[in-house]
Amino acid sequence: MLQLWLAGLVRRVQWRILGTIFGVAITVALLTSLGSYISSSTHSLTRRAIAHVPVDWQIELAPGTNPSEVRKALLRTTDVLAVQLVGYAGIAGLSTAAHGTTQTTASGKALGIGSHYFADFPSELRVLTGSSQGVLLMQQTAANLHATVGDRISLLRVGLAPVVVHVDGIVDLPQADSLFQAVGLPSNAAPQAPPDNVVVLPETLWHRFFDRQASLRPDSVRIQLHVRISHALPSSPTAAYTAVTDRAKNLEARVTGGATVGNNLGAQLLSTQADALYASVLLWFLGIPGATLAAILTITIAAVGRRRQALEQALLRVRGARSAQILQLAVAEAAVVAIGGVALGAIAGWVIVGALGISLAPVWTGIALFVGALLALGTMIVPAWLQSRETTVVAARSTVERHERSLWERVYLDAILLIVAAVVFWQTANTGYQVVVAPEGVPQTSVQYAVFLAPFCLWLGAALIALRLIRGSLSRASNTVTSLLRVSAGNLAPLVAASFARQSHLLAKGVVLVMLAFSFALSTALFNTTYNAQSRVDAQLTNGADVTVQTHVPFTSVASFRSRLSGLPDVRATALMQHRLAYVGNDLQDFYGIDSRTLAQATTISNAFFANGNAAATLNSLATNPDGVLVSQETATTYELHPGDPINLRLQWPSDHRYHVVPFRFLGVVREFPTAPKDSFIIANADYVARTTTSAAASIALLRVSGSPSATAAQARKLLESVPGVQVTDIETATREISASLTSVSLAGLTALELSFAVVFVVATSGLILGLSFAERRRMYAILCALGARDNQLRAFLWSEGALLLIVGSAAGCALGVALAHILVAVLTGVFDPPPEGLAVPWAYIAVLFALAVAGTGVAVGNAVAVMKRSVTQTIREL
Amino acid sequence: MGALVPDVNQQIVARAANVKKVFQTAETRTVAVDQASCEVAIGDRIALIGPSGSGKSTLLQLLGGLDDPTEGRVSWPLWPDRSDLRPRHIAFVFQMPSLLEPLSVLENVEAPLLLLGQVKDARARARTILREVGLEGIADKLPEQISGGQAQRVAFARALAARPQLILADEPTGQLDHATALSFLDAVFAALQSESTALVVATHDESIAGRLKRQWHISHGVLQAL
Repeated sequence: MLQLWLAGLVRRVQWRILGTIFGVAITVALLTSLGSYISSSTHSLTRRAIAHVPVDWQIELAPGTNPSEVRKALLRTTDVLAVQLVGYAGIAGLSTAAHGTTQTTASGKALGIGSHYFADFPSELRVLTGSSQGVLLMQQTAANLHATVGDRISLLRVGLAPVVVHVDGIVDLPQADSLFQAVGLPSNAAPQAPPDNVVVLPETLWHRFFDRQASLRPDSVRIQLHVRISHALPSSPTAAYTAVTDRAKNLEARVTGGATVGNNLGAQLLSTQADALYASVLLWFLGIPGATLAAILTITIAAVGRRRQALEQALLRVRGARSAQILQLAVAEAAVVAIGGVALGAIAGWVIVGALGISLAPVWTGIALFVGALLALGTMIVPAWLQSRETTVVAARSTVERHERSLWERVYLDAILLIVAAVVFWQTANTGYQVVVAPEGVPQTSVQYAVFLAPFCLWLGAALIALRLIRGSLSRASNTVTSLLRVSAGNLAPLVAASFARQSHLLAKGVVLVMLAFSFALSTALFNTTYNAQSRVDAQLTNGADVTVQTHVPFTSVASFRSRLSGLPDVRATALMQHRLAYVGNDLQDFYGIDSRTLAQATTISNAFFANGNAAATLNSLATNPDGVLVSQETATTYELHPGDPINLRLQWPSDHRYHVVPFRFLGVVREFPTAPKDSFIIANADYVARTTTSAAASIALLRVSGSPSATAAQARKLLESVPGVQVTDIETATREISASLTSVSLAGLTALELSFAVVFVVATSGLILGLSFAERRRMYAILCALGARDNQLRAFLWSEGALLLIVGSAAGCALGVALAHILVAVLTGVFDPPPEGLAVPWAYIAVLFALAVAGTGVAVGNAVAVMKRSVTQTIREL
Repeated sequence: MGALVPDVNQQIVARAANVKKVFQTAETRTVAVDQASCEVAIGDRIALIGPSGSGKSTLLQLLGGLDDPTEGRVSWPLWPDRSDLRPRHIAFVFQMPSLLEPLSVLENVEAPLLLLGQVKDARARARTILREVGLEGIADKLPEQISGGQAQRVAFARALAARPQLILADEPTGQLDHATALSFLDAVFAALQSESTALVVATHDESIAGRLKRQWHISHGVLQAL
């Protein structure tokens, strides 16, 4: 019996069975690939975040501790890749005599490093000019002292006579904050600013100069071990953090108070926890609707054949079959679907994961297979069980709905959900909340799941209200509906409207399914496109432009500098910026002189860069006010500045290397700017700065290129290879190197994955569901044919239904998709740096999506007409 | 059977000449109609008698242009445009319920008129026919809300709607008890009394066949006219 039944199913309803298998396969494939992607992304996020930690551990030795003992304990604690002893000595200042004047700085630090330090920890120090060995002076200190390579400088030791050294090189300390951190302070202590004046000495020289100072003033000298450990850590940042922290504590316990570990690696992993959570939230935010839609699609495909199934079961019951026997048949059918769907989905998932270049996550694969099997069994056995208890042959044969209002309709759940969505969104978006919370000083991050409520309620509420409205509109078969249907059905409009009215529930479900498919496609496409565009803005902000040239020694011949760079192939625009240092009160800040009229030609100036949210107006204001200046919010607040207020800055004049007061006028607040640091900085007009400081020298060039930025960067490097201290960077490299922020999570793979699935959903809902629905109602169309309906009339009947699904579903889906994308961007605003000004629209994808949806509908209609013409007598024989 | 001798004074609405219909699958070959020749003239009342599986339905479908013969030719001398046969000239009534289930009784009867583009008069004409066959009381009901006998009468009313000149009824009383079947036929004949419409009724019930003027017998696809 079982074999006969299954053979019959395969012969007679193979398309429905295949359709359901297809739905299960999509669900399994989506969950497998999405889960594997999340797993891989988290692993990659962890790996990339810790790859750029300059020094994993800075182990500060207590006075009197023998470094060798700590080193031994360290080797017993963990796998060590490199260890360097570093001396930190406080100095009262540095001084130099040049050009007939003596310059003396404030207090600073003298570092003592071994000869292999550069090799072991390459990102701590960057040589700008001169040698990497010998006495190295920090760039800012060199500027303060007006010293350069070859100059003699005095180190003013604490409690000892000054010592004189020759400067061998000028260096930058990109990781100064962590390099000079106060190890052992509680995590909630205020961060300490790194010293303004630093000199780096060879280890032997440092010991010669400061061993005595350590005896006299032990508080002014400390010793650290800088350590790089093995990064063979768990893939989850939380687990990796725990592992690293445990090892650090273990070391501290082994040396019993002899050393304190400054755990930079742990701190990085801690901050990555939030990023990883953000990444998971982001991926789930985008992925869960897809998986849900796949499940709904499967349920709908299975439901398309429910009437036939009910009829068959009712006939079996009439012939004496027991409920258990009927259920056995349903279980057999479900097993075929489950095995087929799960196998096909697993293969598809494996192929997709391979195409994305990631590895299959076993846990996620298991979950996906389980969900797929559950879905197949649930969607086929539960309805069969319900039907086996209730259905009569007459009731089963009916195609006309006996729809009673569901509970959700009676209690207006749809309206309630939409109101909840609006209130939650309004509240969360206006109270400066964060999706991922990383409380200060607490080594744990968490997700505010409440923020999911707004998009979830909107999604569900919109689907339900669409169901209510569409069914309500169709069930009345009003003159409006009939008039609209005349466009597609012509004379048959009254019949089509009447048919729609009696099947309004079924049709409304179809429309809502199409709507959900379109909303998924659109919200995903809009969010991902916006995200990718914003990642590029982020990279551009970090790098400054497509290609950025920065020099340690400013170019005084500005015109020549510009023309040389402009002459490079593919360079479309060039803008020069002055980079100086300026005192605002006692605070030394980066100062940028720009040409506000031409800067935007060479780089992207976002509205989000400015507090007033208007880049064009701000730059225009700067252009019309020569002495205008833009400062950070912190500076504006500290000095209680209001637009138009005069502000005096102290700028260094190249002629005498002294700081002179230059009057400016405060115009507004700048938050971010190309090449500028994240904290305080100042923007002013380059012409005014050149006039008041008697120098137009520029040290930054921003290039907009039409070709490959990295290729132009290579050419620029070659062009400027003879110039000392030149650094050329490009946006492609910057994008790859941004590792500390969430935008480093590449959505490219996920975008491809989701957009492909979205296309499948749209085509499946608009074409497959329609096709299966036509097949299930072929009796009605066969009667129409027998009555004498011509091809065009049959087509009009079918197209009316197709058009209803396509037009109403896609329009409602687009509206919902845009709304969801807006909410996603607002809710996940922490992902973006800077936040986007609007949604980026992928027009080409949307056009392809619509074209495929129309094609899917067209194929379904065309196929139904062809089948009907071919088999009308066969169908009639079955009447 | 031998060729029928046509009455040249009658107008022929459907003619089958040496028609053969074979249904072939990979495993089986079934000759449903074998070398059948027949003619239906205006005003004819013909009973097509034969047991189940004898080829009645297939012959009716061939005569109604629903299917094409494997051999031979079916023609409609009065209506050269085959695409215009149904519902303008020929209508079907089937054995099983054949009403469009999402549509009401009135809309079902209206359907052939709308297919013909007679939008303005469709509703009025449908109501008239329903009144004539005594079904105006169920005009707004759905097919599932009426009895089998009523459904067949509605199907017949629908067949009449476009004033066809040939109605092909495939065992229209097959699902009805004998009394209801006779009552149905009474209603049919009453409705057709003033019409020149030809009627071919496939049946295996001799008593029903006896109420029609002419009888054709078909067995194993071979047609014999009496």
